[in-house]
Amino acid sequence: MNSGIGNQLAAQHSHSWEPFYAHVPGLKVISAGTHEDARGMLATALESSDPVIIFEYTSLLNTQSEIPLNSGPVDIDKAKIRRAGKDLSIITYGPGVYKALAAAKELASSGIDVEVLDLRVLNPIDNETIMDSVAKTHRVLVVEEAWRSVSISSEIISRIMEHSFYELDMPIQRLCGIEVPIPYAKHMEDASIPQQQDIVDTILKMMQHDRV
Amino acid sequence: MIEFNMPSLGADMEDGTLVEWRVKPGDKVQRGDIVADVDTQKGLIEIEVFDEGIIEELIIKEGEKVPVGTLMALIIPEGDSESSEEKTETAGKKKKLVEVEREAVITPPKEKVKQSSDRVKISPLARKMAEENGIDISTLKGTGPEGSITKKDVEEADALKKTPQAQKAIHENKKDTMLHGVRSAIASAMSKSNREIPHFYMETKIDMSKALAWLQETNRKREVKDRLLYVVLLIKAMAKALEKVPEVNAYWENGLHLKEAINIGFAVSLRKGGVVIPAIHGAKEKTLTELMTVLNDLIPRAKALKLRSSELSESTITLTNIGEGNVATVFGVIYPPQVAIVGCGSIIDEAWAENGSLSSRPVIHITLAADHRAIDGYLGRQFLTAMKDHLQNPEML
Repeated sequence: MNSGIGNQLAAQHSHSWEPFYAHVPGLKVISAGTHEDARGMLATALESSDPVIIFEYTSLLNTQSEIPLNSGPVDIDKAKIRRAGKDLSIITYGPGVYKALAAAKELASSGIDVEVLDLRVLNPIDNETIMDSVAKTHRVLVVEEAWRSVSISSEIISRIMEHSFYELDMPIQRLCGIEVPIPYAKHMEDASIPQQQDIVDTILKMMQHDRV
Repeated sequence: MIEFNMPSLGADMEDGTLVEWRVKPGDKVQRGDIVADVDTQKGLIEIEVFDEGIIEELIIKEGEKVPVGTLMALIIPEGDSESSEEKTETAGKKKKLVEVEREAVITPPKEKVKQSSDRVKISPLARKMAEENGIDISTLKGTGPEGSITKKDVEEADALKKTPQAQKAIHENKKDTMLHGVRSAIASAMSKSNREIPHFYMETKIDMSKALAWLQETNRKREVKDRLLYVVLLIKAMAKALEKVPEVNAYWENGLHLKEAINIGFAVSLRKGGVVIPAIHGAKEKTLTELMTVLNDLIPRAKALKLRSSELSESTITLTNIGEGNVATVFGVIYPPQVAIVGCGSIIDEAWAENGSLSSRPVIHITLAADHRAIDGYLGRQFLTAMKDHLQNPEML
């Protein structure tokens, strides 16, 4: 399913319906946040005996990146750590992945070592990878483009509370879509979803307590 | 600077009226000197001092009624090198503290209002770490969001705890905070013990008539201040029994680790509630007289929470002694990572069957609570039997 925000397609054609579908039990919902996944998820989905919905993103279709020559079908069960870090985990999916990676690179120069976790599978969610990351970094920022309330981030945060409360060193934070019909104007469209700079700013705010 | 506080002369005593000071500022006092007369529900009592030094200041005036624990006078320990400027400063601070305490007594509702804002903000991870490392979170200052205590704050406190200044810092804290700290330390150690240690219990009854007679005879030859209490016999007998059964003198930390030194932790109750367990180092090597000297030094310092870190951390087994009274038996909760605690009840006259006839004897019930992961009933029996044998031969102790 073609999805996402960022091509000035206004409210009629800019959506993040992942939480909508992920709500349905038994429906496998996956999200392609990297070129390799965009290349390899479909083959595995076709092999699956369950109904699978793949979300791909209009805003990512024209981005370019090298993938290994031997790239082929990829698993559609597990979340993946896209960048290992020790100070804070960004949990995200879809277009959040490249923004989080760029933000992590920027923050590395300030001495903040950020881990980026790409959920990939939005239903059923891979708890293990998430909880392992929380146990490592003790701080979490969830980033998604979908509207904030009753979203994938809501579910992720609930699960961390249920399984890893005693690993947390501060309240979990999240950056989500602003709850408005997505505007047409470029600057307003940009402002309606989390951007790289928002991620950097939020993490600096979360971490500055450690630098006093 | 030594604080001389209104002592508790029995658990039911809440306050006392200072009738007369027997000393004045500048007077030199020695352990055991009577410094004041205090009127209590039980009558006029002469109050002794347990420290040596020079009276710096009498803070409470004659005729004043103050709660137990209130600072009454300041004593400069002998050889103290504090500059006079520092002294005045401390004294001023102390006086302020007294005033605050008094105010608190008059207006108790104040504290209730405070409670909700008193809640410590601490991250779940930091709380877990503090519990694991035995750090009192009320002493920490949070640097996290909304002033919350974070992992980093606990790590720093833990690092600091290992430096000698830490002990000093603890003493400089207000008394109430310290007591609160004692309470939470007990809570966390005892919960851990009850959660993790499979306790088993054994008890032996010992006829103390021989030991008490020997003690009386010995004390007759001694000066009043050098007289022994029967508790030193218990300590010495325990040390000798541990020498024979070293498995009881050990730590359990992923396996049994025997301890060479026999450092008996001696449980001392605090006036405002709580217990501290200072260690009597090398109990095996000390004579009864030396043990008595150690106790005379240790108990008042324990009550004032002025123990050295080695005394607080190095005990290898615990002794809890009920002392005089009518409580026959005490079963202890092991202080981890130790593997045993010995409990001595009061010495009470009991009917005693021996050689086919009954008579009345002063009897003490000694119990052993032991960690069944580490030791078994066989060793427990050996240990208690050894203790019993030693107490039958007091002259050999």
